[in-house]
Amino acid sequence: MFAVFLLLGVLTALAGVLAAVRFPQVQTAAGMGLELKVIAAVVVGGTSVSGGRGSLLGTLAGVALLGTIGPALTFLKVSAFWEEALQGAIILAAVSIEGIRQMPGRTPGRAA
Amino acid sequence: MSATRVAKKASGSVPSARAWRHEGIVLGLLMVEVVLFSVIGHNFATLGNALEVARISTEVGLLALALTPVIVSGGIDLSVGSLMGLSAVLCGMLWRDAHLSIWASAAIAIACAGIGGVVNASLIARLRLAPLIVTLGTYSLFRGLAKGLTGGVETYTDFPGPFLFLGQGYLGGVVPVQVPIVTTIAVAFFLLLHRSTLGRAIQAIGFSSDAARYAGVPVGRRLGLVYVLASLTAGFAAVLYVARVGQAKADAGTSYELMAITAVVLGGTSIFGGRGTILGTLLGVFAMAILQNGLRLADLPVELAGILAGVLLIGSIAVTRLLSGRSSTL
Repeated sequence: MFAVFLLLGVLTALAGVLAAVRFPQVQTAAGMGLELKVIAAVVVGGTSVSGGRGSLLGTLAGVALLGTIGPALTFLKVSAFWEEALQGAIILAAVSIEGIRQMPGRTPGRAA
Repeated sequence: MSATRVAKKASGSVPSARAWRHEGIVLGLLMVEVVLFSVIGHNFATLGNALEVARISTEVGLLALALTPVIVSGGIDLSVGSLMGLSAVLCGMLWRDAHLSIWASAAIAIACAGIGGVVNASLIARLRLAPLIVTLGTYSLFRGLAKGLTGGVETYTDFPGPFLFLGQGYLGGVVPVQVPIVTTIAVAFFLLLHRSTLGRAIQAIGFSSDAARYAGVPVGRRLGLVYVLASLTAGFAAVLYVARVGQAKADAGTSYELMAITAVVLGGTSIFGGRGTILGTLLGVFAMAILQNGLRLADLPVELAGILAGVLLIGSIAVTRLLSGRSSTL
């Protein structure tokens, strides 16, 4: 458990360094709202929020799916302001399908 | 889950001694803040400032009140801040573009927030999906709809005076209009959570939803109600927000959900459900609001508020835990 959070911290720092190299300026607001997008990608990739199930490949697929929404909207000539709504809809669709597949025998209402 | 915890839970909807102890700590914290800022802040210890703190903490306070039953039930609702944005935009749109009266627009916006709550509720209670993920999805969806509808830039302003009075007016020239409104809603949530069978059911579900089901609690329906109630409150908070700042924009209520959740947890509600009080939540809201206000009046950087809020949150939980020994689980 300790190692997992340590690794997360180190990788986050790495992402921070990459972001600093990529963009011309460094701000404290960097990465704001990203945590939720990241969790969304992991879950869309099939990892169970209650733990015990998940794969890195699924997560990569989730990142790719959510990451392509923006460019896709641009090509479809839809306003980029719809990206967030679409992202939400995809998350809901992904977890709903999962939920319908394993309907019986789960405890409702638990956060984690 | 130790036997003592079960015994405490079994004592029913009356908050346990441990919960009161945590509230005592938060109350102490609040007093330390007040004394400290009275000394180092300019014009902090005035009636006017106290009422102004009450006014600016209205929206987060309402969200925190509504999130208390949600978190006590063992769930979470991340979508309330986004729903505020969507309701605010709908309210402005219906009024300006559909030429409805402002009161009708506000009512419809709150009703739409209720529909948003029904979406959350059916996915959580019917499909039995994890509340964290469902509301993470609607968090994006609602904010996204608000941004999409307005093209991200549209701002609705010039609302009629009687409506703005709701957010900017003073009763008798002194008391902000929000104070009696929030007080009423706080009392309603107190009665709901601590004095009704519904509240008892919510606590039972938060402690163990399986046990609650065996005891004959209609778990799905009770949970659904809690989420719809949270969304309706978010819609109402949006209306008050629009009236206070005088404009409706898609970014209304951004990150309010995290502030509200912090206040609820600071007030002693267990994030794992089963335990929490409305009084604690109110103390948590004020502790955070006074921290922000006091730092500003003491000419200290407001960025400190974020750091200190985090420290207070972890500190208060750690102290409660240390005082109550190792047997309890937070």
